[in-house]
Amino acid sequence: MGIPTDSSTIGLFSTTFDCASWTPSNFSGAAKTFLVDPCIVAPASISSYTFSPWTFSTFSVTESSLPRGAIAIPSCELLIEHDRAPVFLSPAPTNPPHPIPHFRFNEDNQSNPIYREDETIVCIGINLSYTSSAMADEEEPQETELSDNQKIDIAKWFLLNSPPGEIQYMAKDLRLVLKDENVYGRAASEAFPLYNKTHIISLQFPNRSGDVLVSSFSEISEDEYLDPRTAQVGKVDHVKQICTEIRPARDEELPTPYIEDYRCALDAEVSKYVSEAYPKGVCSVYCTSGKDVEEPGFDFELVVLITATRLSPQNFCNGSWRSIWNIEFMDELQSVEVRGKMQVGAHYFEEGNVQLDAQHECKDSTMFQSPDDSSFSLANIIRHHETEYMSSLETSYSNLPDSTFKDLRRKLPVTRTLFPWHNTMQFSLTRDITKELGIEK
Amino acid sequence: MNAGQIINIYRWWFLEREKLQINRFFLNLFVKMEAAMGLMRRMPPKHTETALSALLSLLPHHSSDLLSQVDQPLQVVCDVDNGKEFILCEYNRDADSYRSPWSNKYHPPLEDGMYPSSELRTLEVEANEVFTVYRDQYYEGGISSVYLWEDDNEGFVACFLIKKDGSKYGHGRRGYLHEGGWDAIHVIQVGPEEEGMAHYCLTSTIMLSLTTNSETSGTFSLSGSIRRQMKADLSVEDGHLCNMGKMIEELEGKLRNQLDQVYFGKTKEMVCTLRPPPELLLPMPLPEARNP
Repeated sequence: MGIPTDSSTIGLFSTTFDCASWTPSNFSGAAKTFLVDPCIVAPASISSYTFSPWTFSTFSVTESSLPRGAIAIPSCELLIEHDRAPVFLSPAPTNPPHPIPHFRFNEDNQSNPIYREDETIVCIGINLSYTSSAMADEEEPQETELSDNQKIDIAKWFLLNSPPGEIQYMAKDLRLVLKDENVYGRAASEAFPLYNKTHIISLQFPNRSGDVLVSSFSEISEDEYLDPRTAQVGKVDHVKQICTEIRPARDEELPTPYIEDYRCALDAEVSKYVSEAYPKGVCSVYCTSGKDVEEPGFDFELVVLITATRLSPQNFCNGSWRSIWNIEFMDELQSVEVRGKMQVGAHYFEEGNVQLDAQHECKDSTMFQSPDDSSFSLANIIRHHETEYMSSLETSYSNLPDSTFKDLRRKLPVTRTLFPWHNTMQFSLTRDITKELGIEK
Repeated sequence: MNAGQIINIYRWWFLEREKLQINRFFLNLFVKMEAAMGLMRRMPPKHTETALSALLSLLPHHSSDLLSQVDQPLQVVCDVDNGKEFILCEYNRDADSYRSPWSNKYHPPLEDGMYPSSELRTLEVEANEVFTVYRDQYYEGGISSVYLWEDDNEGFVACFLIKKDGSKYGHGRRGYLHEGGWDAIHVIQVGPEEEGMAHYCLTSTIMLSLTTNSETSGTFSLSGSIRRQMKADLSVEDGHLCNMGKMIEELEGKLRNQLDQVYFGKTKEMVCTLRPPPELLLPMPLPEARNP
């Protein structure tokens, strides 16, 4: 235990306490010396003193690292001068059991009085220790420490629920909370690839020749993603969220020339639309089924991904837009079925935490035409639905103040005047009258 | 640096090493707590409860810090005496029981539970009655509870709670919301009376979530929480309830406005930066004549 350097006089069982010399500020200097070595017992500091005639002194110990929960039973030895035996203090019973134990002398402690009523003793130290109730009472169910796998699951859950663009910040905090590189490393290596793929993050090629979108549609292997526009494959470091190297795509990773005509034409049309509609949008078109089809007569499917992310942590605001368009070319019906899913997220966190989470799905169809004509009408379908969705988002926002938000709380009371706090007697009175007249609901 | 200085530094380290070690220990605890709060600031508010219990299991040594710093959605229980619902919080809890503001009884029953003094209880009864009317006028539904208790410095503390389910299945009058929750926690510390004045310190937290759902616009969900403080020295002539009520009404209105204008506004701004609405864009190019 820390060796006390300061000693103070405590009066005992006297009704006239000189509390002046015992103000907490006076004591705070000494409190440092009462910090006990964390290796031996729980760290504690004396935080407050109160006096009453029958209480020698009641002081609480600020809990810093109690054994799990409040199940620890504290004990306390008061060391006093004159080579006397230490005085054992028991925690004062409080109701409800206070998470911060208070100690006091009580009369039970005086079966063998070591001090007289008129005596003044000098306290030279306090020895605090905790017995965990698991040791004190074997019948108590002992809470077990989380296993590494449980910790990994929790860490993954946090990472996967990170707002758009904030997984690195979450990871940094999580690492400090876990204080276990092994657990953190495993959680990160499992969570980052999933997060990157669901958020469709866009990474620049190391030679700046283009971008690769990390998604399940472009995935060749766990860390390799295809960029069909440049016919390159990027190797991705998921945790650092960078593309480390590129290689040309192999023939078997690319669609046939017949499909590529459709893919390329659609890519051109969609890119044109994205550059018009999104200041910082990225898009890509993949063939997800039938990429080996070489001539008309078979079905195939293309997927259009559009993402836009805006991160401005200095303004406490991040957001992302992503849309996925599944386009099925049905040869027999000579039609093209379109399914779209748009997701928007925004997070504003200056002195608060407010998040938008919106999504919408839609369907449409068009005729199976030549690559150019199909692409033209498909890009128009996408443009139409996304523009419509954008205006419905605006409508949702403009409905907030007067209808939606009003269902939670009105701006003004139903009376349209501020609440009459200066005259609240009326409410009790009217209530009494309604009660008397028996017209209460 | 000469040898003497090095020796001095070493001597200083040798003498202070115990203190330094302890400081490092506390620093470590502090860093962990900060990081945990950092996580809570970023987690989607709808996951607050799960996130808190996850942190509690990761950091069992910080349970009391975490519980006091993270606000959780309010829970409601029915008073067995009169069938009225009341809100549970740390301030009406004793052991595993919660005191109802209506009957002043603990649920489940508790022997020698803590009660406010009779003087405070009178004020508590009145505050609950008046706050019910206030809540009805602003919320058109919902549940409210007020708890009072003595504090250490001759004053008292009051906690005003409101919980409202604003969805069309709950108390949403207009039926716009598929899901909608509003939890307000107002904790107000009232200092001792001095020369007819008292010091009031109010801390208000609002937690809300709202979701609309439709065929044409999909699901649209906003959720969040903010906390603000307000202090005032007021004359006690009009009574504590009047002073507390006015402060709560003012701050609650401010918070509602901030959420509406600033916080929701900022997320809207973000959406409009990602994909500017049509009127901000150049007019859509007319379909060009296409050569077959």
